[in-house]
Amino acid sequence: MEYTIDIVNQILILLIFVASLNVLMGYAGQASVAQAAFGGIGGYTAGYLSANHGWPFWATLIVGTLGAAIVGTLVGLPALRFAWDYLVLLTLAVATIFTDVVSSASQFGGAYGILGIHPLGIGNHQLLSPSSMLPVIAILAIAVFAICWRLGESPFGRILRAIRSDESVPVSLGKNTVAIKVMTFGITAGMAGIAGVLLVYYDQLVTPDQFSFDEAVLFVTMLVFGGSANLIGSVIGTAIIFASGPILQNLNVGASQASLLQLIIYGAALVLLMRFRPQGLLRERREFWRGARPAELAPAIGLRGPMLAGASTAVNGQAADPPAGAVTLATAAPAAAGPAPGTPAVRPGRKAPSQRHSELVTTGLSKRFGGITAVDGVDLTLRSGELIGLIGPNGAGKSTLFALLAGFTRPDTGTLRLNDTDLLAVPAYRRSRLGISRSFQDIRLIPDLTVLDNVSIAAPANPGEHLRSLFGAPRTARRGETAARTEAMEWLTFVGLDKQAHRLAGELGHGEQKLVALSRVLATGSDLLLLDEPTSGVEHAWIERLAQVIVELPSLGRGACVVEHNLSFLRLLDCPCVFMEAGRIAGRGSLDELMQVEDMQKAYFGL
Amino acid sequence: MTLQEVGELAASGVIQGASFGLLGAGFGLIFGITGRFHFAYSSSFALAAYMAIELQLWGAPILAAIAGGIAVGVVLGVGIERWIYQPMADRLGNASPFTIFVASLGITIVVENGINLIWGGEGRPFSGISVTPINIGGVTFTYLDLFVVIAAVVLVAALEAFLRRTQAGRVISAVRVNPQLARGIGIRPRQVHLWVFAIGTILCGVAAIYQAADSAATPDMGTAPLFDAFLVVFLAGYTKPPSVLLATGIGLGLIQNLSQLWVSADWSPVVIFTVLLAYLVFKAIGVSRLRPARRPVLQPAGEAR
Repeated sequence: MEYTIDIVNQILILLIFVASLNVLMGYAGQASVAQAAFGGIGGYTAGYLSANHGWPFWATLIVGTLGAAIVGTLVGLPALRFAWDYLVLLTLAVATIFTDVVSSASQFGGAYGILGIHPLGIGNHQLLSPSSMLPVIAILAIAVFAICWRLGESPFGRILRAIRSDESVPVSLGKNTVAIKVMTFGITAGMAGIAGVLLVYYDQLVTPDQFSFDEAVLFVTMLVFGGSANLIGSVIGTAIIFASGPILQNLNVGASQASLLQLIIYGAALVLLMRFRPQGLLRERREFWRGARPAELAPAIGLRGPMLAGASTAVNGQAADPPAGAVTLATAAPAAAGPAPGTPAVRPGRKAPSQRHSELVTTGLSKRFGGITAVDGVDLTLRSGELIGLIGPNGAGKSTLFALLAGFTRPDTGTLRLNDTDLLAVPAYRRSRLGISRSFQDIRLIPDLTVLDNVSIAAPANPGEHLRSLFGAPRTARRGETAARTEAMEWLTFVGLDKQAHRLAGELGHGEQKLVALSRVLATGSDLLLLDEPTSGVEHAWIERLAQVIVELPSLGRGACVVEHNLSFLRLLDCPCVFMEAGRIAGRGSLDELMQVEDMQKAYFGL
Repeated sequence: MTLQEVGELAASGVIQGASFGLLGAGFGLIFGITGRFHFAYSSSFALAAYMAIELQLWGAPILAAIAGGIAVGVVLGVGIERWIYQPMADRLGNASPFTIFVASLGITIVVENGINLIWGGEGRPFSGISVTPINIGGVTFTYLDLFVVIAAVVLVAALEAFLRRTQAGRVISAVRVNPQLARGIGIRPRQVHLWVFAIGTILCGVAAIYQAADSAATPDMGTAPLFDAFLVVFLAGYTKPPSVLLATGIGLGLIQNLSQLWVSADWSPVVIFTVLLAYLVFKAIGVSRLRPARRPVLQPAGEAR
C-alpha cells in the first residue's frame, strides 16, 4: 500500500512540473529547458531555510514559490520580447548556471546537497510516511492543476494559443503579448517552485541531481507524450512514463544500467513521437467554453432574413453560392417573421453608429529598408465613416504603409496622429485599443481554434482574458466571455458565416477564411480599419459578399482603408482612391479619374 | 594584480575563446542556413571525442584518431538532419522549428546516456598532444593550447574563404537568403543542408578533441559547450560571417577569464550570464524604442529565417 501511495505522490509532484510546463510550452508555444532548475530554486530555498534556519514548511513553501516566480519573471522579461529561441537560450543558461552554482557552492552542500530538512508537521505530529504526506501533496497538486486548467482552457488560454500560432495576430487585436508571456512564464516558474519544495520535503534532502537538465527533458517527454496543450494528456503522460520506470528497474540489468536504459528509451520515445505523432496521445481540445453554444446564442442574435436589402438585391441575384443570408441583428428581436424586402439594412444592435469621430493623419511618412525607400513621404487622412481604396502595383509600399500605421514597423521620418494622439509613441497592441486595427493579406487565422474563437478573441476589454477576473471574479469573466462570443456570433452572421462558427478555422476554404478575418477585425470595435487585400485569392462569388459588408461600414460609423488590386471590387465599393507607386502617392481621385493617370495605366494594363 | 597575471588570464581567455569561436562558427552556420535549433550539436561533440579516444585505444595514430572521431560526429550530425529533421520539416512546414527542437532534445538524452552505458560515466582523457608547458614572456601555455588556437584561426579563415570565394560557398549563401529561389536555379537545398551540417560538425569536433585532451571526455561534456555556442551565435547574430563569430568567441573568453581578476573562478559562469542578460536588456530597450521588434517576433520563427 505504502508503495503504491509513494508512486502516486511522486506522480503528483511530477504532474505539477508537467502541467505548468504544458501551459507554457503546449498552450503558449514558449519552450523552456529550465523547468527543473526553477523547481530547484524553490527546492534549494526551502531546503536551506528549513535545515539551517528551522523555518516551517508553509513559510519555505511561500518563499520558495515566490523565489522561483521572481527569477522566472526576471529571466522572461528580456527574453520574451524576442522569438522563442531566445527563451531556449536563456532557460538553458539558467539550467546550466543553476547546476554549476549549487554543485560548487559550499553553503548548498555541493554535489551532496543539503540534508537535515525538518519533516513536514502539523502541530507536533510529523508527517513522514508517504500516506501521511499524500493529502498535502494532493491538495497542492490539484490546486496547481486547477489553476493551469483555468489558464489554458479559458479566454486567456485562447490568447496563449494565438501567440503560439502567430504573435502578430493577438498584437493586431490589442493584446499585450509580451506582458502575457512574461506573466505566464513567471506563474509557471512559480509552480515549478512549488513542486521543487514538495520534492525536497518528500525526499528529505536536496541535491543537484533532483533538478538536473535530464529532469527538465523528462518533463518535456511526459508533456509531449500525453499531448501538447492538453492537460488531461499531461496527467496520462506523466503517469504512464513514470510507471514505466519501476517496470524497467525489474528487468534483469543492474540498477545503474536500468536507469540509463530508461533515459535512452525516454529520449528515443521523444524523437519518435515528434517524428510521427507530434501532437501526442491526446489532441488539443477544440472548444473550451461550455456555455454559449449556438442554441443559446441564437436568441441573442435575433431573426434571420435578408440583410443589406437595398445594397444587395442586385448582387444577391447572381451570387447563388455564398450563404444567402445574413441576419437582422435588431436588439428587440421578437419582431415577427422576415422583414419585407426593402427594409433598410439592419446591423448588429450594439454597433450603433459610433459617436466619436476618429481621424488618422499622416504627414511625410517615410520608411527605408537598406537602399530601398519603401514608403516615401506619404500624406494620408482616414476618417471614420469614410472608405478609401489604396491601389498600386506590387512593391509600391502599400503593405509597408499599413505596417507603419498599425505599428508593426516604425517610420524613419514623418508624423502619425490619431485625433490628438501621437501614434508613433504608441506600441502596436495599443493602437488597436485606440481604434485602429488591421487585417492581413495572408489572413492569419489561428487554424486550431474554432471560427467563433477566432473572432471572439478580438473583443476589446474582455474581462475573461484577465487573470484578475478569471480567478477573482469568475462571474464577471464568464459574462465578459459570453458577451464576446455573442458579439462574435453577430459579426459572423453579418458576414454570413454563422453556420461555420464551431468548425476549426483551418478547415475552412480560402474565401471563408477571408470573411472570418474580416469579422475578426470588425469585432475589435475599431473605428478605423486597415484591410489588406480582402479579396486576394477569393472566388468571384465571395467578392460580392465582401463588398456588401465593406460598403456598409461607413453607415456603422466606421472608416476603412482598403488595399486592393481588384479594380472591379473597388468599383463595387465606389469610394475615393489613392494610387501609390514606388513608395509615393502618385494620384488621388475616383477610380475613373485615376484610370487617366499614365502610371496607373502602365501598372494595371501594361500600356 | 600584476601584469603577468593579466597576461596569463588573457592568454587563457584567447585559448578558451578560440574554442567558443569554433563552436559558435559551426553552430551559427547550421542555425543560420538551415534554421534548425540543433540541440543535438552537443551529441556530435561528445561522440567525436569518445570515438577519437576509442580509435586511439585500438592503436590508431593520433591524426587518424582525431580524423576518425570527428568523422563519426559528422556522420551523426548529417544523419540527424537527413533522417530526422528533414522528414519533420517536410511534414510540418512552418510548425516544424519548435518540434525539431524538442526532437533534438530527445537525441541529446539518447546519445548522452548511450555513451554512459557503453563507456561509463568516468572521465576518459585523450592523450598524445603535448601538454608540456611553454613559457613565452612569462605567459604559460601548452602545445595543445597552441593547437586549438591555430586550428580555430585556420579553420574559420578557410570557412570564410570557402563561403566567399568558391562557387559551392555561394550556393550555400544562396540557400540562406532564399531557399525557394535557390531551388529555382537548380540548387538542391536539402543537399546543401547536409553539407552545412557536415562543416558545422567538423568545427565542433575539433573543439571536442581539444576539450577531451585538455581535461577529459565525459558523457555530458557537450552541454556546456552547446551553451557557449548558442551564446556566441546569439550575441554576434546568426547571419554574421564565421570570422565575426570567432572574434565574438574570443571576446567572451577574454571576459570570462579576465573577470577572475575580480571574482572567483567558480562564479565565472555567472559573469557570462550577466553579459547575456545585459545584452538582452540592452537589445530589448533598443527594441521598445524601435517598437516593435526588429528581429520580428511578429513573424513565425520559421518564416523569419
